[in-house]
Amino acid sequence: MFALGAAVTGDPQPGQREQNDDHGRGDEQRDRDHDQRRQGDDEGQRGTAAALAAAGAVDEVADHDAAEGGTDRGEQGADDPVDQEPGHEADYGGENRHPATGGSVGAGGAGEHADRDADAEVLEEVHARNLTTCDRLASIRHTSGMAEVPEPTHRRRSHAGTRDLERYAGLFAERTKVMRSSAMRDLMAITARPEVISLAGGLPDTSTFPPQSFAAQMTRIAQESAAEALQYGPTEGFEETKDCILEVMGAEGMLPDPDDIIITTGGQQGIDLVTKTLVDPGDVVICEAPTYPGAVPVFCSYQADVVQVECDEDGMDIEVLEQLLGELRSEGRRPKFIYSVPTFQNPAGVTMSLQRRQRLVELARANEILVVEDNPYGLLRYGGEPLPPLYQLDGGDFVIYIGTFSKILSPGIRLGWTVAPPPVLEKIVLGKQATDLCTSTLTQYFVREYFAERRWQRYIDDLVEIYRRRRDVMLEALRNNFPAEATWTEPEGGLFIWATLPDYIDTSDLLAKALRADVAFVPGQAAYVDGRGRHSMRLNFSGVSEEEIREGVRRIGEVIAEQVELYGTLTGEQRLPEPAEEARPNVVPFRKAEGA
Amino acid sequence: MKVAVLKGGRSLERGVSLRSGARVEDALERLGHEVLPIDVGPDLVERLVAKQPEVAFVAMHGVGGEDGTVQELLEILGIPFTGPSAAACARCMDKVQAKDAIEEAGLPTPDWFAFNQTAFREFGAADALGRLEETLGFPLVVKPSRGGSSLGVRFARSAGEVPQALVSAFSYDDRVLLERFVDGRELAVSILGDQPLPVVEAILLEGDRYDFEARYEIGRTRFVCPAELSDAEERAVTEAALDTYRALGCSGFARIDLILDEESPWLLEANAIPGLTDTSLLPQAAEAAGLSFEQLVERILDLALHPATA
Repeated sequence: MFALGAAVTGDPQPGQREQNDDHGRGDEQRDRDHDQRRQGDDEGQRGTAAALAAAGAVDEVADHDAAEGGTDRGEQGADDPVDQEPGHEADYGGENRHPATGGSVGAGGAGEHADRDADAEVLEEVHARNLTTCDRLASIRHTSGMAEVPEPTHRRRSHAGTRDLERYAGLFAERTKVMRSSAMRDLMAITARPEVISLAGGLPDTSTFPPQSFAAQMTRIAQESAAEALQYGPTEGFEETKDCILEVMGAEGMLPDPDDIIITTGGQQGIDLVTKTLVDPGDVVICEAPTYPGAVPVFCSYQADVVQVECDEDGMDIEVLEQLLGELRSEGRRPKFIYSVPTFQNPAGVTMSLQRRQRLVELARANEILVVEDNPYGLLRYGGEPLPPLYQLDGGDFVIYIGTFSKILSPGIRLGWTVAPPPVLEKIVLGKQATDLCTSTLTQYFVREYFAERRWQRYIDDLVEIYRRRRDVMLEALRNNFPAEATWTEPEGGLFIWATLPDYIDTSDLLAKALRADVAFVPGQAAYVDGRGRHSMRLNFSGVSEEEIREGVRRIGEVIAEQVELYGTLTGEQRLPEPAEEARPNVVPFRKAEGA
Repeated sequence: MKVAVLKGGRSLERGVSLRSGARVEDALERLGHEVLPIDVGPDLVERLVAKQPEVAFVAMHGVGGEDGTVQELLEILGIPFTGPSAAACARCMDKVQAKDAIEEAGLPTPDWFAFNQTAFREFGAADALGRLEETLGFPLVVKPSRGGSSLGVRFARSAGEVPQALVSAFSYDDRVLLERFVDGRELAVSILGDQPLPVVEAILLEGDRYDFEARYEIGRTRFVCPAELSDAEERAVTEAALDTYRALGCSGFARIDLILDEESPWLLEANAIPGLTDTSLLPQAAEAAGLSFEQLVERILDLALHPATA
């Protein structure tokens, strides 16, 4: 019923939109036209997003939200478990999965339609015709006789005249070649099935946010500043929202100049804008191995030459980095920036040591290379002592900082920020103008109201409690269910554990098997640009209940055990699939990727 | 006409199937049919019984939809459906069965051996690996017997790579085959009714030629249709494909994949329900034959309703 409501009421009606829009001015008109084009196009975009996901890529594709909704679309949406944002948003696993319910939710938002009579009529029709969620009804507008706009004959993009994609191939920009592995894309698509326990996501648990609080804030906005909240805003973002950002950064010991901040549509847009600003085709971008899967398609779409530097339990190996910088220098190449998630890294869960942080900042300063510090999880610490962010160590000369509200408040509000030295920021602002003019005014107002309640830190404390327990449950489940040869990280914070299996197990194939057992994870390949990571997997513990974590890990352990046993049979080496807990030495926190 | 479009399901190729299904639905709507889209799930029979479609367009790929399961249900319900019969689907889906049938019909298919997991787990089949590797030579191809796209297909360049390739292939099915690798041109012949459509050639543009994932991807593989073949080659290829189609008992449509080397066409497998997406080979071949997607869909429906016209 829920999904049906979304389908019937939530689907945007192009006709309606046009009708309401006769007062267009230049900007707005452009904006609107653009929106409409997007709407018509979203299938195509979703395809790309999914391809990126496949490429291993995705966590994200910015601004993907608009695409899901309605039944016919919803179905497809469910397939493309794209998500997100760095470290940030959901990863494979999908926006259609509601973390709280585990159920599939048609985006559009059920029940936003206020017309009760029309709703009642629809319900009646549903009962009378014994419809299911896949059936289409006439629109609310139609049944209620609200408007005289002709019903569009096709909601979905018409394929009339569509030729095979191959024929468009000649038109594609070089940068679209990041598309990879359609087979893996389809595999990931299935993780969005509601019966699947998905440890593949990167979702925070938004069910913990009190609905009354949300309602009160939105009501306040509606009553006190409706006109402003519905208006465009400055490209850099509102000063009042920047004050909230200063509080968040202050909690980690950073004190940036508000003029150095631009508010972005999620942290993901920060990565995009920084790359857009700094990278020409062929430029070197250095990142960790493994790296945030959602950053890879961004770098690739600007045709960067992505070079990955191995991580160990202390984060990026700075000695290897130094060596690499030397090699690049001798080739006459200067990397544009070094991208790092130093704290509770996505996907590995590791944290860069203080010594390495200091060394990295020294290197950046000595070589005049920018470091892009992506820090979505810094405040989600479950143990150990906080370490200073790179931005704090450097003072903001060579470190660009990317933050987000996604993990400490909500990914749905799409609010992040970037702090950069003024000359860089100036270019980023121009880039942002070209991309989307400004970040959502409404959600910036929401953050302002939310912070005014002075309980944002308490909410993070609550999240930390919940996630710490989930992490512990997952670690215990891993000890109980994974084979002795497996290793995994023990993160002190963040959302992910990175597990590495014996090198004869390919985690993409394992995923196919795991899906038959209704459980999913992200194959490690997604976090590398060169096909490595095939024996590793990323497991998320924040968006699933403790019970689901136990059961999900148990199921994965079972399919691994089968493969271990089979391999033993094939090679004549009998390996014990049973986890030998007592015999296990201290869990190796991190194993370098194969080949390292 | 009231046409149910069956798509989705739980197979690993759900994504492709939804794209195929959506495209078919659009075409059917434009043709003026009443379309009943069904994402196949536990309520399939209930819905078919309630809605009474005159014909079902099966746009499902992989296990469940392409292996005869859904077709069997449709046969029981007496609803005519597109594509091959349940029995033919089952034969095509299982590469081992298909190769048996192909060989029985006297058609060339690369040498192979098939194993199920039990053979390894309980009967020590690993001890036989050395012998068959000698017979097949390297590189050899390891495939899940029932699997779609390139999922789980691996090359093994040496004996050391075989166990790992087997673990991968067994992730998708309980039976796998090891097949001699034939180096040659990769061709696909789609057959509509009893008519072969122009041959499609897949040319790998970049990357590791032993990387199966690169195949069937826009950008990494170029598809040429009609393939540049001499008259003699074309005749040999289409005849072999048609013979395979008949040997497997296909009807409606199917796509036959094969490799052409200097010696002959080597038949690899038949796809009972080839993809119908923007990028799929059957629609490309149809277009090369002058059939628009709508015409292709209409023809496929005709064949389902009037098999005699084939």
